[in-house]
Amino acid sequence: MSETKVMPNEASVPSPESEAVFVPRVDIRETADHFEVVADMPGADDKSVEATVQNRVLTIEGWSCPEKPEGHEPLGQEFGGGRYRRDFTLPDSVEVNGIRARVRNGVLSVRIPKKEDVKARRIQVTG
Amino acid sequence: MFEFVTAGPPSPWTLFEELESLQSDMNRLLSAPEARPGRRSRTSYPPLNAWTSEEGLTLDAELPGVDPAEVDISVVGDELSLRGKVNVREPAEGETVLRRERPAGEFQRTLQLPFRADTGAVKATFRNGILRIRIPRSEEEKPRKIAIESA
Repeated sequence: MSETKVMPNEASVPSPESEAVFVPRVDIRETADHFEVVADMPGADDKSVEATVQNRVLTIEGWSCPEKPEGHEPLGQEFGGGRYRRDFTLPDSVEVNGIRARVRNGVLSVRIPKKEDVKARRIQVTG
Repeated sequence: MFEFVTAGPPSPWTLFEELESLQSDMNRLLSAPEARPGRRSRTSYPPLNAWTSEEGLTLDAELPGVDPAEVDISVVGDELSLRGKVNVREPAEGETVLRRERPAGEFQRTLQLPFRADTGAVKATFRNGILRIRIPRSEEEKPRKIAIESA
């Protein structure tokens, strides 16, 4: 089956060699000319986040190592640092060379443009 | 190097449950995601870490993507309230949402602090999606060394 949307590869993560990998939660949006994958990676910054594409699989990775306050005793913990990773299969309709990523406030956004010939076009109708 | 929640020892939840009084936990998240891959299925939002010292308490809240201007922190006596909105956005024109896992909506969490706070000295910073709140003890609650006078 050939997918036409950007789909997360559920079976591929977490990777078998590393059990302690967080799967970041994502939103995926589509417009006429691009897809956008938005992933929560709290604690990660532009130096610790990576997005790579190989064989039409987009992989997003990030690391979070929260700074513990000095001279304090832990009272309770509901989240921890660690590694984020998730894979997505890209449709043939996207231009892999045009993919752009940015991270802000612990959120990674990856913009995946569609190829020119598949972009929806508005045709001017003249009377 | 890292600590992982998913593969760690039994979590110190009990400490946190004590900290968080049942009555005052009015936690509310409008649209919790159905799928929460990789994370614990805990309903309280945002997830918190807390540390104490003689000086006070440091609280980290995981709030990726939140606009700090949309977060309201209030400390009254020994009670701290954290409320705000996260990822509240209208889809752009011509945009289709294919998948939505990230939490979105309003949240509120109220915690019972183990001491009375110096409310005027509470400070907060926001970095890489993590909100850190420093809550000093009120002066009268700080441990004090008593000088022993010789008779």
